[in-house]
Amino acid sequence: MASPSRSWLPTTSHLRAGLAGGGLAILSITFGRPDLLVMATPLLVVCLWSVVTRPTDPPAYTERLAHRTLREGEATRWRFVVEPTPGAEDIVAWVITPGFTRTWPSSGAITGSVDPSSPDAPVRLDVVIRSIRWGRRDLGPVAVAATSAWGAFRWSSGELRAHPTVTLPYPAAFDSTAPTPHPNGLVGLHRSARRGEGSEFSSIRPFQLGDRLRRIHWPVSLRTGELHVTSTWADQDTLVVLLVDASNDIGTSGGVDGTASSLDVAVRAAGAVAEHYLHGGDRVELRIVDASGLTRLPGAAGRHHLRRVLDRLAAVKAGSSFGFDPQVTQAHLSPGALVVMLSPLVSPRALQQGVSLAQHGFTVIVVDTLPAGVRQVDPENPFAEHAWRIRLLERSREVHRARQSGVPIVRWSGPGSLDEILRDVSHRSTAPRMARR
Amino acid sequence: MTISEAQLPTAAPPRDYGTGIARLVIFTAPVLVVLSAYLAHGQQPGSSAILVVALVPSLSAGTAFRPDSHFAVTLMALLVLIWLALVSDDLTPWTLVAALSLLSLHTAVAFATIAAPDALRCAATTRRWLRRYVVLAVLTASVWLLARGVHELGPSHSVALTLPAFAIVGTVLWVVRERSLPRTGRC
Repeated sequence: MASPSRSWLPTTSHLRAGLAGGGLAILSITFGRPDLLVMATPLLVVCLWSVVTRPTDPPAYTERLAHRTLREGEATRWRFVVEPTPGAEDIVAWVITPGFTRTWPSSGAITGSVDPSSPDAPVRLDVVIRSIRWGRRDLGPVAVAATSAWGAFRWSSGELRAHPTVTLPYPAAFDSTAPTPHPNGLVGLHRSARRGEGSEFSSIRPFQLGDRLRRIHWPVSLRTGELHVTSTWADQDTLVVLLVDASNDIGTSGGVDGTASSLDVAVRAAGAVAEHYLHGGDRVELRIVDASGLTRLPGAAGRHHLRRVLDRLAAVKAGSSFGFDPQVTQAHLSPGALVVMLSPLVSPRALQQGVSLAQHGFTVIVVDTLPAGVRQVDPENPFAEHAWRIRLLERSREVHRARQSGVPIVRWSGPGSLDEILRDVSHRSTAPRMARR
Repeated sequence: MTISEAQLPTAAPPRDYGTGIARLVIFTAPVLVVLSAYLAHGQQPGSSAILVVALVPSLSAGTAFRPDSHFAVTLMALLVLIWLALVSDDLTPWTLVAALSLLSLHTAVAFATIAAPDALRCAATTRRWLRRYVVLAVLTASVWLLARGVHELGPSHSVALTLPAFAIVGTVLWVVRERSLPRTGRC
């Protein structure tokens, strides 16, 4: 139990009852007015009742937030347990929550009553908090207060510290049946361009030195009189680099149940793509360009890495203090990596980045995360909407030119968003091409 | 385990009528006191009295929306002044109505201050306050009956009761003052 911090203090209600009751009583006796005595009596009784039952010791309490890490749309419980002292009657707890949270009750404040039949029984108060958008935010501050009979004396814990929480993005639904263009790891589920140890049948060929005996295909060997073996395609993994452009957040975010801003789409899509490839045994690297500059999470595989990716995505803060610098963004990028760039493409530099990556020989897929129907209305600037429309026209021209130069750009549309492009890229990857080194 | 969407409390929270009733009482009780004063007075009030009475609704509104402020004590003082200005030594049933209205006003304001106006109050709290209000209302009615009885005995008895009444009120006020002061720093 936390140590009690403050004592019981009289409230304005108590002051009012005392002043009004006492004043009326004195006037009544002084001027011989029994009508004033009738009015004074209940107020004086309230006053006397209050002081006789005044609590002496501050109540002990605990407060605990059940979870510090949530997924979008999930809720947690802030539980207050107050051990009342004699005389305490009503307990109030309240939580002040930041944006993108919903509380139950909606005000975030709840009252509880001390059971008169068991006055020592702890009073439990629960405030349910639901986080509706990814991100890192502080829940709180919170406070607990207790009042005595007639609300005459109040004890308050004061504002207790807020708890930092992380809301992980809820990855959008994503699935892909298309092969990845350049699988180059040692293990994985993707069929390699080369033959080797794997599970997918490739052909039956004559035995060579080094072939495993269990690979010998006896029916063909007996028929031809020469040893033949079954060859397979090697199973390999790939490195998927997710490049998230968080330099702009276009549109209004309504949380997990409402409309999505461009950053919402980018973060959830990045989570979905990461989840898909990590479940397939691939390695995923994350690069984020946001207000704090370029953040890089090195490529790794596994379920724990998905948690790291989501955790890093939850910390994204929209801003463009860094901007896109191709030299920095492309640094240490493994050759053969599949780069999935997620951007609203509002800044021309983001598109230049995609083109630059493609020119350097990387396999790039640009995912357009700009939500449809976004408008820029500024009541103080009548030209804002026109400027935005002009910018959108410029943007569509830039996107067209980028497509013509060989950068595939696709709108995010959930499952299968990347399939067509991945197939195209896989076919293209087998053809010779010129790259600028 | 976090609370999944399916486990979220979907039902609307229980309707909390306590705050609404308290606000209604805060609006109506002062009007009842003024009305009782006029009915006990039995005459048309002057224009200055009407001006003072016009302050009552605005103070009531201030009290209803900011119950923890000093609006309430100002409102009660104004109501007592109006009563003193209009009524002279009367123990009619309107006195009982005025006394009960003052008690209702105080109770409603005190109830409203135990938590923020939009806090979800548990039903047990509202029931307990209502029970206690009824107890005090019965006590007030008893005191009114007693006062009427003593008043009918004559002025000599009234004078004889004045001294003990002073003593009782003085003792009550002293006890209230002593026990209301913060106890920090005491042994």
